[in-house]
Amino acid sequence: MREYKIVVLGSGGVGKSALTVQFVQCIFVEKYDPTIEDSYRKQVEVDGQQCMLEILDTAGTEQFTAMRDLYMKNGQGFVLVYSITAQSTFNDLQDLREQILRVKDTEDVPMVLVGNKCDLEEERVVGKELGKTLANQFNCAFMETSAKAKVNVNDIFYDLVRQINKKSPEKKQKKPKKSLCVLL
Amino acid sequence: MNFTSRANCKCPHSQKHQQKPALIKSHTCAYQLQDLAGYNRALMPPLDNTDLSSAWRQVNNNTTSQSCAYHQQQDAKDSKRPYHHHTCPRQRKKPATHMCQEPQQRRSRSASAKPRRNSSYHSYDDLDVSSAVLNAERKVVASLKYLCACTGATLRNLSKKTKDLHAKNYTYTKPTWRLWGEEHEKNAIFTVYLKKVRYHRPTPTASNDSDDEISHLEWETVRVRFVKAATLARLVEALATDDGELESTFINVFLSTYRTFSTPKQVLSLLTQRYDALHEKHLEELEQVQQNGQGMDPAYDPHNSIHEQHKKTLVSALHVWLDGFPEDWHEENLQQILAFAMKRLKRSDLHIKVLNRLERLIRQSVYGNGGGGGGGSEGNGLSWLSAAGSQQMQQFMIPTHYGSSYDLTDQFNGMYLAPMGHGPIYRGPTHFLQAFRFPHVPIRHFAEQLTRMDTELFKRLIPHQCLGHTWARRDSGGSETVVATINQFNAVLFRVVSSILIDRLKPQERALNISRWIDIAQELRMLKNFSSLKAIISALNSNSIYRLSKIWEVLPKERMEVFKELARICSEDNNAWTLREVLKREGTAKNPESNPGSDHSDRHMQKLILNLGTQTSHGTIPYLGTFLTDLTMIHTANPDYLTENKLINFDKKRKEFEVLAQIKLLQGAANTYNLQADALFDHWFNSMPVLDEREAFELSCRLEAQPPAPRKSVVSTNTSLTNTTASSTASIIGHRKTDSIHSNSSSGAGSQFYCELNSSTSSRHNSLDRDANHQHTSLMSASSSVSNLSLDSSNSGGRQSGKLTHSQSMGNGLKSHGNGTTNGGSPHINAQLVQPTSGTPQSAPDFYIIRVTYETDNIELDGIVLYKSIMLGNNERTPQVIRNAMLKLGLEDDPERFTLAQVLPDKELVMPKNANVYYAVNTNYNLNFILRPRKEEGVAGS
Repeated sequence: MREYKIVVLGSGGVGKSALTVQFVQCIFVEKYDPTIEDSYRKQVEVDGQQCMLEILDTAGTEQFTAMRDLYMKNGQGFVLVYSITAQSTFNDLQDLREQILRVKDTEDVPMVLVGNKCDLEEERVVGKELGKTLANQFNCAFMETSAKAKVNVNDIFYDLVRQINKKSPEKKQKKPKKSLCVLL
Repeated sequence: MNFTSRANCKCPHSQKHQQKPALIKSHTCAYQLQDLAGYNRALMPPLDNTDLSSAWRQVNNNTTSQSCAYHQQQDAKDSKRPYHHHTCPRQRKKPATHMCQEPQQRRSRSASAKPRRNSSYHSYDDLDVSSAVLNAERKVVASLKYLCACTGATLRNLSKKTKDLHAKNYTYTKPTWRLWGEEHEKNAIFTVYLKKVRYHRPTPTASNDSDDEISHLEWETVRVRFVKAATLARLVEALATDDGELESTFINVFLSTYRTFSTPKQVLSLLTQRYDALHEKHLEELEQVQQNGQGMDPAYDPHNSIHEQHKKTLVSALHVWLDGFPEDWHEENLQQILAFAMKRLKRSDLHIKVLNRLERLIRQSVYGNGGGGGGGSEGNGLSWLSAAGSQQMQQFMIPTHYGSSYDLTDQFNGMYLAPMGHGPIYRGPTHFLQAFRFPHVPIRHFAEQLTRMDTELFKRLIPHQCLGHTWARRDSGGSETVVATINQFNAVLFRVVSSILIDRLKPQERALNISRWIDIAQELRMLKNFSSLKAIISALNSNSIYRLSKIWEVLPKERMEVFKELARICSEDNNAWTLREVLKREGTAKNPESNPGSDHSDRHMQKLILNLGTQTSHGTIPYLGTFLTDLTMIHTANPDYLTENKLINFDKKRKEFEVLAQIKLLQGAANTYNLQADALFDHWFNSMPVLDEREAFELSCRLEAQPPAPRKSVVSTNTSLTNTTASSTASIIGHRKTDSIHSNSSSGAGSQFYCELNSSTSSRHNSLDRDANHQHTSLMSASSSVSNLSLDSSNSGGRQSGKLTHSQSMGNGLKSHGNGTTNGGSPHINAQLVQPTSGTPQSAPDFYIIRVTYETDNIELDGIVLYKSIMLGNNERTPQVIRNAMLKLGLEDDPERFTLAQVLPDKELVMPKNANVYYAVNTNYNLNFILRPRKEEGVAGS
């Protein structure tokens, strides 16, 4: 089974952790245990293919700014999350994306732009159009989600898997791995 | 320490246990000091109170052949200690309903093809298994203190019979738990367990005990209620309730987590109110007894009344609170508790303690900050710490403040940068010469000093500030100690990066620096400082370092292997499994352990560990990020309130406490470090320049060019081209500029677009500048100096000569830096300028990084002003740059209402309304810009 390393990035408080927990645990959130080895693994079927997703959620460690490089280096696909209720979280993503491209040293990185907390429509400050524009600029997929209302959560990860598949089909799986370990 | 559960363990011992649970009497866990934690464990049920099996979660276990540490320990004990089995006929008659439960369940999610290792266990039991084993094997006094506190509450809550048994040194086997059900009361939900406790005489030397005193009690069943959810009032009440046994760690869970749903003041009020209520009840009871006539109930003992017991419990709760959570006790709260103690408990221990505390606090506030005159040693220590802390805070702030950026520029000016009008080269502080200089640094000493810094911060860390609830709202304060720890981590990381990137070094020398850091990291591993270890490894793995393949190529193979081993430990893979395991195993151990389960590739580390023998013992500094993520996740995954009555979800608090208890345990262990501060090291640490991620990347690119076909910067793709003459000229020149080798002359290809200088410049210099540009194939220094000179001469003729020399030296600086590492003449690198390297013209970046400060009328420039670095593409015009800067600075306004100016040493260069900023900037100087609201008169413009 192919493994996919997906990194969830975004400022503190955008609800990254909620997206991740919602995705890996679905209905059994009460039984969720964040400290075990496979807390953030999930097996899913995408387009008839079984995939094992390992999600690296940076929640709680956003201020270890210097660690981002490492997260990015290890990730194959990226979820860039902002909250539609906070403009600054939207603005921060530009830097994050630039950093990803620098670390990956390519323009073509599987990526999804996510505007979270779309259940809080009345508190919205970042318009959907703005998100779309940024996604166009990033040349990546865009969706608005709500971890709370369980809207579009799985789609983020499915979309990423498809992007990764498209970029590096399974046969070449070893190739990206090699490129990840330049110095090893 | 091993978290392998008993259920998971395949050693004969546990199999025996599983097969014949009723017969097992041998899991003795002596009630003795080392086993206090084990004692707690015995009193605590598995965490998950609705599904026992899930608390015993496990995944496929491929390494089950060896027995777990718990059993090894138990086996050792068993072999030493003969069994004494007192059977009680009465007890025997009891129906054997309390079967030992050792649910074993495979996790379904572990169906992946990849072999799974032991999962870590996650339940109260497991936490305490860990502490039991830890503490029994390695005495960690400090951490015991903490656990003793739990036990204090425990003892009181035990049934009297049990207590008596313990008093007589009875031992008991690990009790078994059985979920009974939930009890719903008004404002509270309880989970009820039945606990079976077996007893055991510890030694045969009980000859002095008469047979009567031996109860022969073999086991009993106790009903235990756990608060699942309740209102705040009920939670406080639950500290001492009327019936049944209470959860032993309740008080600690409560005190560690209550800030997420209440305040110290509120809880203190509720506690004292509760005490008052109990007091009233007790008085009533006494009255009643007296009314009923003396001698009616000779058994009645006013001191043993249930109310009196509860009052005592409350007082000890206050003691635990005062001792364990000093951060809650500022003056106001102390006054409140003092009033209470005066009223109810005059001259009691509590009263005295509170008085002392208050006195110390007041003395501190009077003498404390005044420069260390008075105050006890504690006060001095604290003020020193806080001073160091604030200093560090400033230092560690990644340059977001102008203050620290000035530091940076100073350092650069002194040591690395061309002296821009600051006087002679090497103007650096003289004491720098005596200080450490990479790679010639004492490795062990560096590791120890880093650990010393980490220890100070880690010991000061207040665990409950890590709680998801608090930490998630970090902006609103309340998590300073966490931030300080993180800042230190980042600071170490940045220093590693800059020590490798700065200076003019040959690749071999840089490789030596890397190798030195690997050595230090290795020492940190031996010191069990996982925080700085991870910082160093992450730094070496960071983009700007790991991309330098030429440098890594010359690193000795053996160093590389060590690096790989260390990187494996720090890996974030599998939820940072390796680091978690190492931490669990060695958390409070004296020395690092070689991991028998790890693959043979760790041979370097194992060799070292074996050589280490039984030297001095150390504490442990964990990487805090893992805990922070865990707590954030627990916070996310569990609701704060249950049911429609908004009862506080106390099960969540229990889960959070588990993580906090680990931190606290490690903090206790950290006390065993004994490292002396070295001012010289501190000086080195503070003198290292801090490069932010982009600056580091640019330096790195200069050392080793990016591969061909550079990416276009995102920002620049977004801007539209306009067709004014200025811009078209600019773009033409731009092309020429990137293609040519030396066209980035010091005063600038763009100087003809300087439409306005503070002291006005006439446009006649354009021709001169063009001339300079056309000479792009020659070395730029001469021509650019000329153009620079002419530019300056129009400003102020008097300063002409000075300017001339200045720009010449500037030209030299740039030239040498253009020539790359082979030019040994000048050691100056301008970290800000992104200039093409002469040897690799194709790598010329088409952007600069500029720093933009926002200046309003009321902020002085020389104060502490925020600046942000933004990327400046080669086709960006002023409005776009202003927009980018505003975005970065968090300003939301109309870009039209701002002006942008470059800060030059003695003037400002205001960008015209629609200039191509990339070509307009004066690259002679640091690319520092000021963004300020446009003045009404419209200063900028023509």
